[in-house]
Amino acid sequence: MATLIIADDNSDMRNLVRSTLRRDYPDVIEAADGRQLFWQLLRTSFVSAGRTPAQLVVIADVFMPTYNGLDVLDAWHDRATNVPVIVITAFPDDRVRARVRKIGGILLPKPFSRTSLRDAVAEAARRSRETAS
Amino acid sequence: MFMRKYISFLAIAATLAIGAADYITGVSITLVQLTYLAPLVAATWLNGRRLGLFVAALASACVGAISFHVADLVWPSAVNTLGCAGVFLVVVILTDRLRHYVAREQMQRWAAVEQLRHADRLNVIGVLAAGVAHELGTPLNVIAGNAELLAEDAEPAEHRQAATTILAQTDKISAIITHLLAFGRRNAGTRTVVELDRVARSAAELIGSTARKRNATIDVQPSATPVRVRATDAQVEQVVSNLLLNAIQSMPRGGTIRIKTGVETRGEEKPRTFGSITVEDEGVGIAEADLPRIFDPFFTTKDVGEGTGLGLSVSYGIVQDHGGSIEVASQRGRGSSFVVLLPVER
Repeated sequence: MATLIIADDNSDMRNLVRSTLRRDYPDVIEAADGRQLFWQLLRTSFVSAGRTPAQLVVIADVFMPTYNGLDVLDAWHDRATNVPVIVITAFPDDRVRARVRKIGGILLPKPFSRTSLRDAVAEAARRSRETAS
Repeated sequence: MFMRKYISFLAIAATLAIGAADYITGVSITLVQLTYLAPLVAATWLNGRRLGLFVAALASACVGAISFHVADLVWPSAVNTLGCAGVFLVVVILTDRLRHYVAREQMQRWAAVEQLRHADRLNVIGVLAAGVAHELGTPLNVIAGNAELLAEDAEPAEHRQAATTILAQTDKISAIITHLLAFGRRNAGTRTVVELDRVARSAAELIGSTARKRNATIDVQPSATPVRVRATDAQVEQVVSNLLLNAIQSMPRGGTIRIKTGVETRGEEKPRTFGSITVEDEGVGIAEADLPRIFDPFFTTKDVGEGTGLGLSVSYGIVQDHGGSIEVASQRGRGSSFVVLLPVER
């Protein structure tokens, strides 16, 4: 069972994502800003050194305190290329789109419905399985 | 009006006064005759050519009368009078031309300043809109998501119904935010060579089913030769479909919307060629008082829930980004016509 990392500075938003995906992803790690996301990613990839990184799913906001979510994902991307990444943002401009495409993630503009979140996670997981195999 | 009469009176009085002074001193020399030019120029500049010509005739009469009286010689006096009359006439015409030229310059400058001010206002609103949209996105997402959760499995049924209502309302807010973001976003998309007829047809197709529901027909009239502009395809289509939607909503009893493409030239001194898409409806028209405000964000005359008041301002922003403009003509009860002008691609 994969672990879900949710990074968003709004705790209600994190709760919403957690409750939406509870059935498929009971293990959740939350991060309230870019710094926490960075450390959680580092920690999980260190702990899961024996496991394949595909057992992580990352859902991250772009504009967060301390570090920008995309910057963190960018820096971490070299380390784990086939981790499913979903970027959620209320401000999906062209630059954000291009960067999300570059790290092979899925962009989910806010506000999104619960169904589209589930679909996006399923699609990201499918993509990373394809790259892995 | 009073001012004009006052000026006419003053100019005529001044001319007669100069004439009287000329007669009393009895000199009738060129220097004195030149003073007639003062009321002449003043009258033409302030009141236009008609008064100018009248004062010129009066001044010529004065010159004539005095030179005959003083010199008593027919031919030299006649030549003197005719010469003066000619000079007066030329001065009147030149002053009048200058007056028109200055008035037109001033008008153009005012129009340019007004346009700049409008663009500036829209720009500020665009930045603000992007900020607001960004801040609202997450809270709205939380509300919508939780409502969705409740709509799925809340008890009793009324609560599920209430949650569904909340969800439907947040959808409307989302639509406004999407519009706001489109407004705040500049230079989005890549520009390619776009054929206006194709855009017109695809926008008409997109809006077709909505039009049929409201008993409206869309009549696409392509130009004889294809018109191409450099633009972002999707954005131009958005502008045109927005105009079509407005046209449909302006015709409560249905009717025909004509959409034409063509080439138009604008600008007097430096004419520029634009590709144009014209959307004409047979709707209720726009009140004259509303015309200057229709491109302002959040300005709408539609019923609550019908329009966001952002469609036209977003369109205006898009067209302006492309270096074009939107022109409007409207007649109450007859319909409106919107012309989208985009710099033509050669």
